[in-house]
Formats: sequence, structure tokens, C-alpha cells
Amino acid sequence: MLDEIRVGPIVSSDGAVNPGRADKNGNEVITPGHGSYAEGVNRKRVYFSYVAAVAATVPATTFVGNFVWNPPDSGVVLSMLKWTSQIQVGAAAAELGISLAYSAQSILPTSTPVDADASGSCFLGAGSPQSGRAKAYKDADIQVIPTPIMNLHHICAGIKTTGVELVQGDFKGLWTIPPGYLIAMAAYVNAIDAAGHTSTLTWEEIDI
Amino acid sequence: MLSEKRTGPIVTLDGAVNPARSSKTGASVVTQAHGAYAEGSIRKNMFYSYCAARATSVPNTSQIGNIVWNPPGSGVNLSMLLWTAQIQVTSATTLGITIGYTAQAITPTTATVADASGCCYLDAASPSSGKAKAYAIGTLLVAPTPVMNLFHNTVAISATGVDQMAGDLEGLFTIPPGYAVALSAITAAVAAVGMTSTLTWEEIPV
Repeated sequence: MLDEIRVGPIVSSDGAVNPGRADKNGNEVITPGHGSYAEGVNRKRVYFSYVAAVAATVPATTFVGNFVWNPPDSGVVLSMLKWTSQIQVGAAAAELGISLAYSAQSILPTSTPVDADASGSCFLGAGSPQSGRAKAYKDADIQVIPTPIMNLHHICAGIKTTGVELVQGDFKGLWTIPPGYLIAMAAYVNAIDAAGHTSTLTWEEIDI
Repeated sequence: MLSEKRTGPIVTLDGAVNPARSSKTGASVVTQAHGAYAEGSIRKNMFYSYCAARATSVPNTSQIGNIVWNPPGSGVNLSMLLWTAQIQVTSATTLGITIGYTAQAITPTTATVADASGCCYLDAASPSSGKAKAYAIGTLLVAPTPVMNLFHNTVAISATGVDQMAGDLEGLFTIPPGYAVALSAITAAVAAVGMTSTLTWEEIPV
């Protein structure tokens, strides 16, 4: 027997029972129950890394910026979601912007890695800080120079004194970071001035 | 027999059984399990082409910029998704950037591969994987036909302000086997080393 639904809207009340709704072409009509990421956040699977006022470097093994490492034994992949970026100091003409980059990283970052300024679960309770399998940093030595894969943000010389900027986007899970790899926001062409870059990365941890 | 749902939210626990939820107008209420592209990415069906500092041409058989070619016989369509682009060198006569397409039955000649490309599942197998091929430069059989303007460039942008043009085509354009998709300049080419861009797509079996 076919699983049938009925064409057209109704006016219903909580607790009432009704068939599913179809449009005039037979498609099932749906509506979101919550924000796109609410299910993952409420299950405490979505995380953030916030890094404030750093001199983001170009891709290098001595790395400064916002980067998230997925340890080899994590048991999860990182599914990248929303991001933000601003360049708030200097911005000489030689500083061309920020890119997303990745690299293999099989060991804990070295040279006394400095944690991100804030990181943890997007379910912002007492258990949020530093939770999750992935680790968020703003300064550490890494094994391999990250490979840029997407330009995120272009900076121009006048931005320090002219206009407003806050570049943001949503990867919507497009990029997947497996265990033993890291994802980073790196400067493009030249490093950002001291205390010049503030950014956020977010991701969902999905069991393998 | 109609498949029935119950109106309104409930509070339940993992493992509990309950009917599906409908809205007050009878629509099925759904929620995302993950990001919109996570399923395709984890299944290694999502790909990218990143081209840095390229003098993007107007639509031309000698194309420069960001080109993705779906070879005949690939067995997949390319469903276009997120894109980004920035113009980083003054290009006063470039009026903007478009996305376009063209028939391409053979491998582009005199070609330079994209600066980075591969699967969006970023492991060791990612680089250069996928059925489609990504180029920064290539000689095409036919100049691409623009199908959508993506952004407008102005003279001052390299000196003042900030720009990052980005969008999500959400599968709007499909590139079948034997065709290419490309970013091109409007009116005049972008200056030398002037544009950095990314194209992403899902490869869907034909």
C-alpha cells in the first residue's frame, strides 16, 4: 500500500492528528522545526574556535592564526560550518587577505601550543569550554605547511580607516577534516600585522 | 490509507517512539541532521578548484581564471555549489565576474592545472581526485557563454575597503559530461595576478 499524503494546507491544533501535506505536484510540504544547526548543537556535537587579535601568518610550519586539529584517535570527522573574519590593524597593501587551508597533522602541535582564546561546545553551558575531540589553537608548530583551498577574505589598505568589514560565511559541511588533519585560517601573500586578525571557526563532530 | 502525523512539538528521549510532527498548516516539520553538504562531503562526492592570483580573461577560447571540465564519459554531472572570488590588483576596466559554460569534448590544450583541487574530504587522497578536471588556464574549443553575473568590480577596490564575494549556487547549474564551467571577466580581463577564486561542486552519477 502506498504511503499517502493530502494536498493543501489545513488549520490544526497541537495534539491533532492529520495526514502529511502535499503540494499540487505531489511533493511533500515541509517546514524547518528549528535553525539549521540546532539539532547538532542541542546534542552538543557542534563546536567553535574564537581567536582574537593575532598576527595571522601565511601557511607555515610555525603557525599563528586560528586552527583546529583533529587528533588521529578522535573517532570523528570535523564537518565545517560557519566562519567569521576581520582584519582590524594596519592592513598594508601587501596583506591581501585570509584563506582556508589544511594539512596532515599526526601529532600534538609542538612548541608549547597556545590554545584559542575561546573554544568549546556551541551549547554554551558550564561544560562548553575546551570540550570536544578536536583541539583549537592560535599559535603552535605544525608538521606540514597547510595547503590553501579557498579564499575567504580580501583586505585592502584603506580598511583601517574607511568603511566597515566583517566577512562571514557558511561552509554548510562542504569541507570534512578526517582524523590526523587540521584546518586553518591563514594569511594570504603576507602576514597580518600584530594583533590584526580576529576570527571564528565552527564545526560539527560526526562519528566515523 | 493516509499516512498521519501529529501537530505540534513534543519533548522525548533517545529510543522513544513517536509519530512524525506536522505544523499547524499540515506541513511536515523537519530538521537538518548535519550541514547541508556534509553527507556528500563525507561520501567524498564534493570537490573544489582553487586558483590563486590569476589574470582572469573575458570569455575566450584562451581562457584564464578558474575552469572545471567534465570529460565525456565521466559518468557524472557536476552540480555547482559554493564559490568565492576576490580581485586583489587594480583592474579598472574589469566590470565584474561571471560564471559561464561551454561544450568541451576534448582535454583542454596548453593547460595549467588549478593551484589546488580535489575532494572536499581533506585526507591524503584528496588532491586531484574526482572525475572532473580543474584548470587555471586552458585553451577551449568554444568561448564560454556567461550565464550569471557574480559580482561587480570597481576601480578603487584594491586601495580602499574590503571585498570577498561569495555565494552558494545550491546546485542551480548542472554541468554534464563534455562541458566546462568557468569564471570569466566582464568587459576587460582582470590585471596580472589579479584574481583568486574557488569553485565547488558535487559529482552526481548520470
